[in-house]
Amino acid sequence: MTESREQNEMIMDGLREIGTIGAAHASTALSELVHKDIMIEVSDCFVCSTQELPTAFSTTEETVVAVFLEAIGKSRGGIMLVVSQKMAIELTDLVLGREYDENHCFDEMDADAICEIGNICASAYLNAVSRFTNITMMPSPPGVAVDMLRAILQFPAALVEADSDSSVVIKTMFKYGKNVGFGFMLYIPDRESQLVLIEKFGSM
Amino acid sequence: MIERRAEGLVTDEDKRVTLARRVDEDQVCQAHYVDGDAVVGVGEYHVVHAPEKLVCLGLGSCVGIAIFDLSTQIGGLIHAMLPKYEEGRDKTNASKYADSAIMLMVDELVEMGARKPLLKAKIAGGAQMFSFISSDTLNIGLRNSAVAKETLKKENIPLLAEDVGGTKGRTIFFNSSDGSIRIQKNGEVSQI
Repeated sequence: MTESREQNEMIMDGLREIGTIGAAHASTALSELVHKDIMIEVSDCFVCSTQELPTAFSTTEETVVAVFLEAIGKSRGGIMLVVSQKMAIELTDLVLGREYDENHCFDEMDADAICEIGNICASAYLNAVSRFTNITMMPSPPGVAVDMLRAILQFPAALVEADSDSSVVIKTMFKYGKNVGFGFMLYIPDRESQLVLIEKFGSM
Repeated sequence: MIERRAEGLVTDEDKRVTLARRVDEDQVCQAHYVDGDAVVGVGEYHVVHAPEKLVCLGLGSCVGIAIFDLSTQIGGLIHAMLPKYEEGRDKTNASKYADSAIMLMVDELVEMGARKPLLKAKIAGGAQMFSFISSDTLNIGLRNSAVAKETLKKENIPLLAEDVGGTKGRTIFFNSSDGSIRIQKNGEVSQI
């Protein structure tokens, strides 16, 4: 997405808009799932090049939980939700109806629960993208990884590299109960969706 | 196929590390250090004289390839992100691909005085971070390590040891004086 600055701004606005719509849908779906209010807000959104992806985050040694889904349809892509381990457990506590336990380790049940959360967020986001681009995309079954952020980010970086050169990083804020936590959604459009997005937002 | 650049060698006396030049920007990569060891970033390779040590932080699906000649005490480490140069879209940075990076680094090592018939290699990394992915095209970790091994074979460099695959990320420390690699994986430390 190497367009002029002005055009870039417009594209960013468009992507932020998609992110906000996706987040709103995800909030509703998640709140319904756990019967508690979960608010998801977009606090920042930027486009990042492939090689920078593993270095675009400051705390890359931290262990994080990531859910990755492939977008399947007329156009392809990848989508990933990244949250800290603590926040992942807090979120899965809500889904599984568990009390918060400081000594709880991330286990199989949590992995399944966080996959579901990732699935909901990804579907909501892809839906929002589809509505703008008129390209229908469905998320694949989710996969989960618990590892160093740096190691995890190499995967989408390599995917992006194979088929496209930039990915959209959406910093999202989750508000649930008394807790507030930050997470990231990464949307990696393939070349085709990228061009459609540029065309849509660049000429608005 | 790949532009080999002997002039890409820049020796920085202060750091005593020969930095690989990135083919794309004609710019010398600034090495950064962890505990005195130079970090090899994603899609880069560094070559050094013993007793320098090199580090790849957080190898996920990427693969770390160490090639060294103990007799002349010269070695290097690659942090390759993708398997094949020919399949890649970005042709400007050949050090990003396992196959082309090996060729480039071997040339540089020989340029520095290493003896090609005595070169040995070890590889680590190539994990499959997301276990659900079954299709081989998406298993970049597996393809990275397979292509690395294939290329080493073509270059007639014996592979002494490997620690590849699995689902966990690794951090590796390469010691150029004895060719050993210390691997941190999932909180455990091992050596090959």
